[in-house]
Amino acid sequence: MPEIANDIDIIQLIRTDKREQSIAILYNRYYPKVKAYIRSRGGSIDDAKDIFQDAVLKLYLKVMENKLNESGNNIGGFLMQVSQNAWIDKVRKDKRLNFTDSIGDAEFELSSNDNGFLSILSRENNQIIEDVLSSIGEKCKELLRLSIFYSLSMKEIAARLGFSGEESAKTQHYKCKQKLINVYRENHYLKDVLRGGNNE
Amino acid sequence: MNNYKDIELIENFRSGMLNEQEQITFNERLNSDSNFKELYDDFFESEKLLQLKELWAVKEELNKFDYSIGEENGGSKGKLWWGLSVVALISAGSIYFMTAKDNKYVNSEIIQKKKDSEVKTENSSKTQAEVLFSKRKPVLKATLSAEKDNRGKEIQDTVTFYDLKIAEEPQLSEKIISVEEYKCDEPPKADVITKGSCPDENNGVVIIKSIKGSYAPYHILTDSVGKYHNKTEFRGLKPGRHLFYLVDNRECRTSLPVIIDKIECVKDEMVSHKPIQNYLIYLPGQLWKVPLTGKRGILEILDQRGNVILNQEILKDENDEWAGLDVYSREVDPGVYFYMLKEEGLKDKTGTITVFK
Repeated sequence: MPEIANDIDIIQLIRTDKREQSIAILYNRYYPKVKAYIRSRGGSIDDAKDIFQDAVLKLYLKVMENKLNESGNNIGGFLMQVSQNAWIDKVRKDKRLNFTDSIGDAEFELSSNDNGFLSILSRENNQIIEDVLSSIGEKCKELLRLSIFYSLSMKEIAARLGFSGEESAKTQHYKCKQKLINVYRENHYLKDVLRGGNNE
Repeated sequence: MNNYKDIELIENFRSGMLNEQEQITFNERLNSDSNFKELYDDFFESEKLLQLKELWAVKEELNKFDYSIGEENGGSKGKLWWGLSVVALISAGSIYFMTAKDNKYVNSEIIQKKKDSEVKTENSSKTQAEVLFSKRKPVLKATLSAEKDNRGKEIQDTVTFYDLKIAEEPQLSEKIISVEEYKCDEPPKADVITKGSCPDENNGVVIIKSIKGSYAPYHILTDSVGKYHNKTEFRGLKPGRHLFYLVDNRECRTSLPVIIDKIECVKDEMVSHKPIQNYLIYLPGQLWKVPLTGKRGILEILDQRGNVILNQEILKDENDEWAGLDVYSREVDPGVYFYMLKEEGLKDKTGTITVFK
C-alpha cells in the first residue's frame, strides 16, 4: 500500500473517485481515535461505529459539495469534531448525563442540514433511488456522478467512459441531466422525501 | 420536454462561467420566469438523488470494516480487521483467506442448495455446492467446498470471508470458499392501484396486482422490518407517503412507494334509512311523495313477487309523486310494494308502500 502523505492526498482520492482506498485510509488512520474518544466516555463499539460512519459520510458530503478547503482544514480535526458533537448530541438525547460541555471554537462549519440530509439515507430509499435511476441508464448515471461530484474534467470523463471527445461527453452530459430532471419530476415520493428532509 | 440550452445555462452559472451582465440577466429570469425557476430548483434537487446513492455506496464500504478492533478477547477479530483492511485496499472482489474458527455465525436458514459437484484431480477430489442463505435479509450466496486427498484426508483448511453471517458452522467436510451477496438481476414487478383517503378518515386503499417475474411465492412487506403479508390489498391507510416492498422467494425486493392522496369525499346526508313502513295510498287521487333528497333519482318499485312494476327517473317538483300506476299507467292491485330510490352520492333508500283501494 503506498504511504499516504497527508490529508490533501485523501481529499484528492475522494475527489478522483477512489472510494475504497480513501475509506480504508480514513478507517485505519482515524477510527481508532474516534473509538478511543467514545469508549473513554462510556460509549459502546456500536456507538463508535455509528458516529465514525456518520462523520465519514459528512466528510464525503463536504468534499462532494466542494465545501472542504483542501489547504485550510485537516481531516482528522474535522472527523474528531463531528464525532465529538455527535456524541454530545447522543448523550443529550439519551439523557444519560447532564452535559454542560461544549466543543471549543468550531474550526469547521458544520451544518445541521447535513444531519437531515443524512437521515434520508436508508437501504429502502437507496433501493427506490436505484429503481428510479435505472431508467436513465448506467452510462448516464456514471457520467453524471463523475461530472457532478468529482473533479474529473470532461476530457478525463470522455476517456473513462469511451466518448469520442470532450464535446461529445459534454453534450451527453446535458442530455443525461435532462433525463435525471425528468425522472425526478415524475417521482413524487422522492420529491417529498428530499424536500421534507427526513425519512418516514 | 427538452431544455438542453437552459440546462447548459444553469450549468455555466454554477461553474461561474457567466460574465457580470449574463449573471444579472440570469437572476432576472429566475425572478420572472416560473418555468425557468422550477427547472433551476429541479436541477439541483435531482442531483441529490445521485448524492444519496453515492453516500450509500460509501456507507456500504464502511460496513466492511471490523469496528471492534483492539477490544478485549478480540485477537481473532483483530486479525479479521487487519485482513479486511487489506481486502478493502487491494480491490473489490479480492479474496481473503482465514480459518473457519474465526468466523461468527448467526441463525439463518438455507433456502436453496444446488446439487453438489465433484471434481477429481490426480491427487485429490473436491466437492462443491452452492447454497443460498437467508433470514429475511439480503440473500447471501456461499459456495461450500471440501477437498480431500486420495486417502480421504482433508487438505483444504481455508475459508473465504466476505462480511458473512450465516446459519451453521460448516461441517468438517464443508468449507465456505466464497461468499457474495446474491444479486437480484430480475426483481419482481407489480402494478399498484391506489385509492385516496378522505380527510381524517384514513380510508386509503392500495392494491398490488399483476405480480410477475423472479421467484414465487411473493410477499408484501409494509416496512423494512415489518411483517411479511400474503395479502395484496391494504386498506385503512392515511393520506401521505407509504412504502411497500414486493419480496420474492429469494428476498429480491422491489420497492413500491405510493402516495395516498387526500380526496374530498361526498358525505352521506344524515337521512333515516329505516324503511318507510305502511305508507297508505287511497286511490284514486291520493299520491305518495317520493322521498327524494336531491334534485333527481331513479325510483324502482317491485311487487311482492319481485316483478318490477316501475323504473323511472324522478325529478324534484316534476314527477316526484306516485299515483299508484305501473309503467303502463295502469292502476296497481292493492297490496304491499317495495321501492328503492337511488340518488348519486347518497345511500340508496328502500322501504315499502301499501296500496289500499
